[in-house]
Amino acid sequence: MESPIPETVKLISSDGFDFVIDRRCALAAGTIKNMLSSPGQFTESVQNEIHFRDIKAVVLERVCKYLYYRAKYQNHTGELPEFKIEPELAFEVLMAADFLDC
Amino acid sequence: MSAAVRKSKQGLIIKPVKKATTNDIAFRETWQKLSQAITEIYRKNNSQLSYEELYRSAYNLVLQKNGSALYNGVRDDITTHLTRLTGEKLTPVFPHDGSLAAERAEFLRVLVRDVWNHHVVCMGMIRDILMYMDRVYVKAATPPVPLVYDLGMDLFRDHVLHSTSLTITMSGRVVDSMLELIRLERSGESVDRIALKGVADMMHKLESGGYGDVPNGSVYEADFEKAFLVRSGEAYDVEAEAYLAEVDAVEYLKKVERRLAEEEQRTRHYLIPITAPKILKVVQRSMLERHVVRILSMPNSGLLAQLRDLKFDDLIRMYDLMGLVGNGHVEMRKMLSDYVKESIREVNETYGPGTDTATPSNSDLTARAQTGMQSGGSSSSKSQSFNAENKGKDRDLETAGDDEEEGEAGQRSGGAQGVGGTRRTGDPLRWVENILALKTKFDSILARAFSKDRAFQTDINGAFERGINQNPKAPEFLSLFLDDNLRKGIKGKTEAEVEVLLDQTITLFRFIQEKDVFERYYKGHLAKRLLLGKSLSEDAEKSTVGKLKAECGYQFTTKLEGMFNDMRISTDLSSDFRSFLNNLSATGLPEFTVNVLTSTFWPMGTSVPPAIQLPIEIQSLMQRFKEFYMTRHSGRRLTWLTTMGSFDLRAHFEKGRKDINLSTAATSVLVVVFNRPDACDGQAVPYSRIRDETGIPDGELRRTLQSLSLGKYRVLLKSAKGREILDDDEFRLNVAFSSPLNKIRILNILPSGGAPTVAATGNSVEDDKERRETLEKVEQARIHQIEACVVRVMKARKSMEHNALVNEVVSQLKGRFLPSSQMVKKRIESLIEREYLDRAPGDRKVYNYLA
Repeated sequence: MESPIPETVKLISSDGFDFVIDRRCALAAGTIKNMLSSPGQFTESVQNEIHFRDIKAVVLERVCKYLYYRAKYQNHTGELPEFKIEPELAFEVLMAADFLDC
Repeated sequence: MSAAVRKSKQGLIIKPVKKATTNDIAFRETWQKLSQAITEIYRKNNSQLSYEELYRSAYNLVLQKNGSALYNGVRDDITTHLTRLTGEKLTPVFPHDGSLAAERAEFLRVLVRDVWNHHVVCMGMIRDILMYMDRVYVKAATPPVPLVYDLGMDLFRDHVLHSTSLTITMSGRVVDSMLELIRLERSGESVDRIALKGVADMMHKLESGGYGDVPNGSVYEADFEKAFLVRSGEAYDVEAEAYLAEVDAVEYLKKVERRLAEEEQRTRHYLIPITAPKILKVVQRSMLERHVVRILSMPNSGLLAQLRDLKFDDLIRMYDLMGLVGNGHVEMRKMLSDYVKESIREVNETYGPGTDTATPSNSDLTARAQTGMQSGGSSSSKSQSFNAENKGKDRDLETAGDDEEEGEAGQRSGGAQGVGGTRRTGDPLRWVENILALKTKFDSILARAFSKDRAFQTDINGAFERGINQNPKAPEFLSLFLDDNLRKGIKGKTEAEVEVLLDQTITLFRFIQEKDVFERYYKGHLAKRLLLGKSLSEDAEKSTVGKLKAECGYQFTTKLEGMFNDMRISTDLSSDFRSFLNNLSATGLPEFTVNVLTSTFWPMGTSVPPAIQLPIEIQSLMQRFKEFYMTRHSGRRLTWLTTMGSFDLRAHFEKGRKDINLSTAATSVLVVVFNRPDACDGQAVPYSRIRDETGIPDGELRRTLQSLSLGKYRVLLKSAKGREILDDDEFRLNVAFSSPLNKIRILNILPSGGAPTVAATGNSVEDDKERRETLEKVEQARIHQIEACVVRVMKARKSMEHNALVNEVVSQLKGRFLPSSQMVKKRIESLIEREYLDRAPGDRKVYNYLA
């Protein structure tokens, strides 16, 4: 393991798009968190990138946006702005959310 | 996904076989991957695995309703890996019964490091990749199953610790290895604490029951702790026996202390803290509780020896340790209390009154009132005490008891201390001093060693109370002690020192049950101090009375204060009388001092002493005083207590002038009978004439003549030899009397005719006869007090049940003495006879008050 923990992490969609996002935001997803910080070292934490073979770029983009949205409003009190999801993506985003535990 | 669900609902009936088949194949492929991954994890090859892939696989399996197959597959895999690990790692180092400590430690190290820790790491990873299974399948499973991590722990317990593949269970071996290492450490060897700690922690993390069972604590508690406590108990039982046979109580307790500290540290360093109270209890039970009495009663080192030698550090340790076990302090208190009692008993035996009764008494002595002096020739001066009786005596029952007071002050044995018979009458001063020393000793032990434990204090005090009251003369001794101190003991002491002394004495006073007896003696002693002017410090006297008042209330001390008052008034009265005489220009009279005492305050009583013929000068002075007094207080009755007085005579002998201090009777003999020309010429006077002329009763006259003719200073000469005065003896004035001293004092002789003693002015122990009289008077007074108390209570309550009344009376009188219920009952009966009370018509147990 590289001694300084990298500040970002790369998420790769099933159709080959890379999303480099802030590591702390990414850890909000339980699955990602486990991948990167499980007591054992898996390839993901060694390479600091995660290949999602079941998630397409359009969906992964929504996921990344959601993770940032969540990080931004985590400690927010009062009215939350709506997080928009296109109806045609809704089902797949929901599946991804269940998979990622976020 | 909802589409898929719908599909399966339809397919459930139409094409189940096909569905199952595709599903089955897919499952097998995916599961293969996962199973392989678990193997890689156990081989520590995890960094080549893709988490995403494995997670997705498990995710898909769960989604496809293969959760239970996945769960079971995982369980079987883990079991296989654990069994393999056990075989590979543990079997080679598995210790046998005779294994050395190092081998056992190695075994434990391997167990923790290579099996347990590894397993934990693997399980962490397995849990992570199967997170979705935990989240979705396990949560909903029926019957419930543990999360995969907990499953891993249970499997470890069942297949490693409790594996039965070996001759002895792994857990049994683990535990006995630990116990062996602990045993070695106890005997002073150093062992691998880290290995022990690892095993203990491991066991603590494992639930002993497994799912489905009622949780019954960790494997640590079930497998290890139980055995640990039992074995430790056995070991300490043996150790206790061995030590007890070997070392003394002090060393033993030090060892116990060390053992307790060690065990406490052990639980902190490498066991689990929950064991601490349990193992300490075991050590306490084995080493202390079973041997309490044996430890405490060890000769030369047990409690008694420590108390005797004031080993405060040892006592503190003993107190602390014994406090840990239930019966420890109880036994300690019992022994302490016995020891206190025994100590007091020793003092009682050494300095207290003997138990035998036939005591020759050295009593005699007349209390002297103030002594005046001076007039020419062989004339005399005299001082006089007398009672002015108060008019309108209170006839109320509540004060009736006071009438009984009669003085024993007038008759007191002289200087008993140190002069023969100490053994019999006891030595009041030494007795009190020794008791005080004991009290101080136990107070300091209590404060320094027993942290002022209330229960200990109560026991010590109880023992003191019983011990002190076992000396029947304790009240008298205490009063004598105060008397001695107030007369001379406090000389040269600072006020603060005197205070301390008085306070200490008062603490002893508190223990005395018969406070009324003490009061009687104290009054007698005080009377003598006042009348003889022997009191050193009025402040100290007042302070003592003040303290008694604080202890027992004002009733206890009103009479004492009255006595002080009488003395003050008498001083004024005497000087007034002197100026009265001067105004009459009556000169050349002997100096004359009178103390007027209120009879109810003073212990002399009202009985009129025999009319002794007094010198004519004195008689006229007495007459004048009476007239003088009556002009001031008409209607009072004065009774002269001539025997309480004393005289200073100036006698002119052939060889010079002597000032002689004498009793009233002796003065009467010398002045009335012998102070005339023919006697001065040496003419003999027969006994019968002396008796007739002086009017002194036989017994006293004989004693008086003995003191004058057979004592140290022989002013009279007896005709016949012999120590007894016979009726036909004759006496002559010893005109040739000489003495190197100018002032001499002729003291009366013992009534029993023993050697003439120093009939000191001091107070001393009463002889048996006097004591009987005193106690009789006390008994009388008590009768009145009980009756008064009964009437008081009944007056307030009007009607009362027998037992309640008795209890009330006892509790009210407790401060002064302890009446027996028998006594109270008698008094009640007497009051019924005299119609103060009657029995309720319906219930004979209830009394009514009759107004």
